[in-house]
Amino acid sequence: MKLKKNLALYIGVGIVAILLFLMIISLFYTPYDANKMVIAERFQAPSIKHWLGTDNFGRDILSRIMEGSQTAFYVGTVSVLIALIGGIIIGALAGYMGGWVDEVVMRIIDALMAFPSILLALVFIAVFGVSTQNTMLAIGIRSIPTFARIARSGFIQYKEFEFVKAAKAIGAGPFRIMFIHILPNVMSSLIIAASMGFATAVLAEAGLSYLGLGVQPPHPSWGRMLNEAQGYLMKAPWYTFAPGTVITMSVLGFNLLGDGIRDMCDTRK
Amino acid sequence: MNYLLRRGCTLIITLLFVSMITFVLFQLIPGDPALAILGLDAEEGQIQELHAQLGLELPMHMRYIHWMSNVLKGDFGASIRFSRPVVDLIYSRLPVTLSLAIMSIGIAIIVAIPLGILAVRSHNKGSDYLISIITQLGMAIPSFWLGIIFILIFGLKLGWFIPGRYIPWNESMIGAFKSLLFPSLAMSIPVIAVIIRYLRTSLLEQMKLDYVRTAYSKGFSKKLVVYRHVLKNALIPVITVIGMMVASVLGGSLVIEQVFALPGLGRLLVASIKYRDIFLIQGIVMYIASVVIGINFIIDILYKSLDPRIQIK
Amino acid sequence: MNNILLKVEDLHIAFHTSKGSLPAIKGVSFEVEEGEILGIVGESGCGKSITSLALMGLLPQNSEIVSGNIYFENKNINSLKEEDMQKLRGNEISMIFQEPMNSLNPVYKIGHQMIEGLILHFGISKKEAKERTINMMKEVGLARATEIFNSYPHELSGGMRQRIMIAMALICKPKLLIADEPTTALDVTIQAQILELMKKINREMKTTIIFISHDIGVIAQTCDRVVVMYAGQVVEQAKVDEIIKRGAHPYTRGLMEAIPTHQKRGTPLKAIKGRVPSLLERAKGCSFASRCEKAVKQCTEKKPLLNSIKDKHQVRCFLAQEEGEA
Repeated sequence: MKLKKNLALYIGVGIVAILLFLMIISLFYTPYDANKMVIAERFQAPSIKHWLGTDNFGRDILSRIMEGSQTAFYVGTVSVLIALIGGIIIGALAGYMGGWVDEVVMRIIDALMAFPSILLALVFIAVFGVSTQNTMLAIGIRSIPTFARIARSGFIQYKEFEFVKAAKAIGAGPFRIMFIHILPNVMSSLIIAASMGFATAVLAEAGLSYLGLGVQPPHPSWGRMLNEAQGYLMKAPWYTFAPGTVITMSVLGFNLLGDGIRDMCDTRK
Repeated sequence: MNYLLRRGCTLIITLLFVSMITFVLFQLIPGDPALAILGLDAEEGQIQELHAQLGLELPMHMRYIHWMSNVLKGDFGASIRFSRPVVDLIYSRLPVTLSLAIMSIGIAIIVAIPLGILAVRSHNKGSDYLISIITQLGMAIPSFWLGIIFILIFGLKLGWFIPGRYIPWNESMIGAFKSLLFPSLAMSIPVIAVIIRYLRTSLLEQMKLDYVRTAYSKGFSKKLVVYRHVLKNALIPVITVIGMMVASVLGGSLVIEQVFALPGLGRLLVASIKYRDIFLIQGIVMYIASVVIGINFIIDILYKSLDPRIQIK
Repeated sequence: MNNILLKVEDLHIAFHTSKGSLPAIKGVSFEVEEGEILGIVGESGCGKSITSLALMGLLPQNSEIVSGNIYFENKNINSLKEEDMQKLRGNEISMIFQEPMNSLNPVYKIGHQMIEGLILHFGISKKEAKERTINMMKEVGLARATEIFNSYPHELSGGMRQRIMIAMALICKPKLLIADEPTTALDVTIQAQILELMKKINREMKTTIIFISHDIGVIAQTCDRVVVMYAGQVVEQAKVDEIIKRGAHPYTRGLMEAIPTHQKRGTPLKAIKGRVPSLLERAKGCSFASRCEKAVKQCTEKKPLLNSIKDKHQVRCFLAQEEGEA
């Protein structure tokens, strides 16, 4: 059992490290120019020259996957940060204040949770237009309720603790208590949620970009690659497997990382 | 207080907030919907007239009340692009999305419950680990990519269905089933993974309780203990998870319909976003959110009524 | 002399933990005669419950019988296959547990839970099973049997639930009933009623009972013979009067002195100092020595053996010989 617990963490860290490594390398080096179209080399199957083959414009798929990882990490990081900060502020207010503030905030969160995640993102994009920024905002805002709920329950739990009462007794203001005294204690569960939120963000970005409502060209995006690949399923079946696999691995990696951290933190067991 | 009554109040408040969020968001859209309807070369008089007709010169809260009272009467306005009532468009596309949702949740329940039980019955053995690995993978694979792979394998290579051709239920039951089966399967995989995960945890927790020891002491085998005693207890919390899956399945359907070119609500929504068909978008969004809330309400009541310890009346 | 119904022979049980294999039961032997009520007494952590679970073949997953034998009607049952053990469980040997609150399945009606054992073992019809169940419920003193039959566990009081548990355990007319702290979770008046019921069952249904309790007072009221356990070993066994009058092991005496009685009114109650050693602690000599007021040098150096100091009275103590004679 113990081995299996650690296994989730190790595999998670391993996958995330590989992806991160790939992303950093792509900042300096890709085998080919990811956007260079070579019509003569369209639809080449994987080979020594093009490890993952080429697409309908003769672009090197491996190079595009590598550059796509920048998009994925960028969108993932920014949207998780939006969700984390928004969630902490809302959750802290609701949990710490309690009473009607809590009641109203929770009802709004319930209402937001009723929207399937991709639907809310779609509404956001419908209202504010299609762009990479809006994709990140849409995914980030949609994830706020998840983080707010976690933060809220943490704040409710800790505000009754002795050390918080002590801080209050020596005259610490509510903001000091909330963010200096309580927040660090709630952070571990928020970090777990952040790891899983990253996975969700990668998945959501892929979905939106697949629909043509996410990251826009010229930035390569795994989701849009899947959309392009679908048009040539018979001609170039390898094309769909590269972005599909890398999305799956990213989501798997960050989910396992989150699971692993949770098991590690769970000292009660 | 009466549980049903209290839960009903929450339902109404949540719906109210949902309508407000939907309404306010669409007020933020830059540009004039009248211009979008009439075209850029419309005359000032026409625009004024349409503004009055749509109630656009009123303050926001009045417009909300106006909109809401129409929504309650089942009037979501008219689509700019199709010049047809939004409700008609929603109902014409509903069968596809609803079938997808019902079929995928149905498949998920049928597959996930036996697998969850199997995982627990073989706890810490090979098949348990195998199921854990499949579960993790199932949660990670984007269902729309799975859909693409299904099209490649079952549609293009094996020819079990024709990708991109939807046959309505009233035309041919078997045809409709065939055209919806693979999209439903693709959507059900992540749901299966989540249900297995919850059911497994729930079963393992129940297995530690005292009543299980009592059941063993009566002479039941592990299999009978699991089926006759533990399962019902373990399934009660899983019902809530299935409720949560309704939202995710309806969301998943938005993308899957695109993958399989199925004429459902999702495809309609994506197209109307591209056309900026505001009233149609607003209508679909409000509709889907209400369905999710409604189903969760029903599931919540069902959950409470299955547990004899909780009294709803 | 009556027939021996159950015989436990040099039973060793170990727990497998991350710190290695820890012995919990270290060579326990005792016999249960047909028709008697045998009490097993000791503080919690002495191995009473684990012994009783071993008799049922229901040891927790992380524990195991290392060596020793359990004979039921001269048949070795710890080498039985699981399927054969299932035929015995609930049918020939039944068990009731400490927590009547949690021992019933919360989502099924009482009746459903009661008849299933009958149907499993005898394959009779639901109707007949219901009839027998209602009779048994009346037998254990449940007045509104039909009404209770259709209730859920949470609708009943603790005492009623324990009666249900007893009726459920007796429903197949087992030869042996193991009652693990059946009255501990109940309040005093209910406790007395349940003890009376146990005696009545023993008398009228001729059911042999193993009665497990940490309370030697309860044991004294109920049982014919007593086995005193400490740290996974039998430290004393004898007839109940013998134990009460001439309990020879300092641990037995300690347990006796901790019971409040009329005679002791006004004097402070004595409790045994210290606590039961954990499975990790291993004493070189007598495992009780560290808590024993009378311990001498020998006690911390050598392990005492279980010796007969009288007919059917055995004690595991170096000092017992003289004390017993005194």
